[in-house]
Amino acid sequence: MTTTAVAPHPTSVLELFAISGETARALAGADRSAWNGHIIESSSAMLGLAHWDGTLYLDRESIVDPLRHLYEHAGAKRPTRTLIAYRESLATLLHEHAHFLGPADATQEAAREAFTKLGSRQLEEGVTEAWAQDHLDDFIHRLGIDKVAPGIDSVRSDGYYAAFVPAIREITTDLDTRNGLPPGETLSLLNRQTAAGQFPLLVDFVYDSTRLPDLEPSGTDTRSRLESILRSGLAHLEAYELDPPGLATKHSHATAAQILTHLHHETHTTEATYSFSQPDPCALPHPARRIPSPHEAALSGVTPPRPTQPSAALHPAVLPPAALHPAHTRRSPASTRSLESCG
Amino acid sequence: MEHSTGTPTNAAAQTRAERQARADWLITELGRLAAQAEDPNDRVRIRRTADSLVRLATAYRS
Repeated sequence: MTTTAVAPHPTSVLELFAISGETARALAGADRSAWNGHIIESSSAMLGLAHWDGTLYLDRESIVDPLRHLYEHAGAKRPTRTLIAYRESLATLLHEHAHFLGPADATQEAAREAFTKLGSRQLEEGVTEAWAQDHLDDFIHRLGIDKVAPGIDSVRSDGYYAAFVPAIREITTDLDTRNGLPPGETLSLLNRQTAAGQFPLLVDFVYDSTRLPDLEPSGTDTRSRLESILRSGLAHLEAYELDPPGLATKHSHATAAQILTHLHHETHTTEATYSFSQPDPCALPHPARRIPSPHEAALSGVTPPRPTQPSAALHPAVLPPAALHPAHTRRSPASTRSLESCG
Repeated sequence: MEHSTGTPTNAAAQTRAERQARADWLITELGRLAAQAEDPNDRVRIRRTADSLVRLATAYRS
């Protein structure tokens, strides 16, 4: 008989914190977490911070105390309001852990530097929050919290970063569809990157969703132009950060639509450049202009004599098949196939 | 639109300093807004926004 070792569920807030980083990493499928295992209970304007030195800061009153209360009343029935407070604390915990995730070769120094670039904060916060919202129930179940706080997975609360999340969802959903990926895959793959890897990956997704990989030689600046559109578009979301959630959501959707339109225009224009510069298998060749002989030129304007009866030399039955068709409408088998494939 | 008469390096440093100053100002402003907010949901929303800006501000300073 084979047994599988299952990590015991935490029974205290300290045990929860200890296992939370690895649980988030495994849930995300990321190579590594930059979390150093330290949590500092803070009391300031912020609720949670994934510091660049690997330390996790959590607000005592709003985040840590509700989770402490959760384990102190394990198994007890709680009002919806309390369950929502637990859920929001766990959402913040998962969100902050997601900030620490990255591939095996990632460094916090590169991530920190990249985070200061135009549009990076909006992209990372949008990805992190959207992913954490989508995976909160799974996080709760993996930690066995649904047993400690019955009903926690049946209450819901609105997420945050309404200026960023809708735009990120719209853009990543569009890329899922265009690249034939399962729903949520683009978002999950971006979530496994630090800020240093997110924009290069996002640009790859956009580029690969077009015909450009087949049309374009390497070394062009197309990717730079796509990145510029994405960065400036996402940076624009900052203008709506303090708006009420409904208004921020509306602006976020509108901005995403503008970004996608701009990207599609840019890629279509570039695709057209390469399409026109290569022989078009669907285009008919121009009819060749024959230069008249000096004799023909001399007789131009003179009406040719009309035969009184059909000449045997002009009878279709005795003409070679090729002479029945003008040169510019003749098709080789290959071009016929091309035309068929062009519809 | 950003205008610059200096070298690209100076322009980048200036842009970086401006963004850092904006982040610092926003954090202060958000702290004030959160303290004044009567709706607990608004208070949390404002503080979550502050989280992101504090992460940015610490990225500039680290």
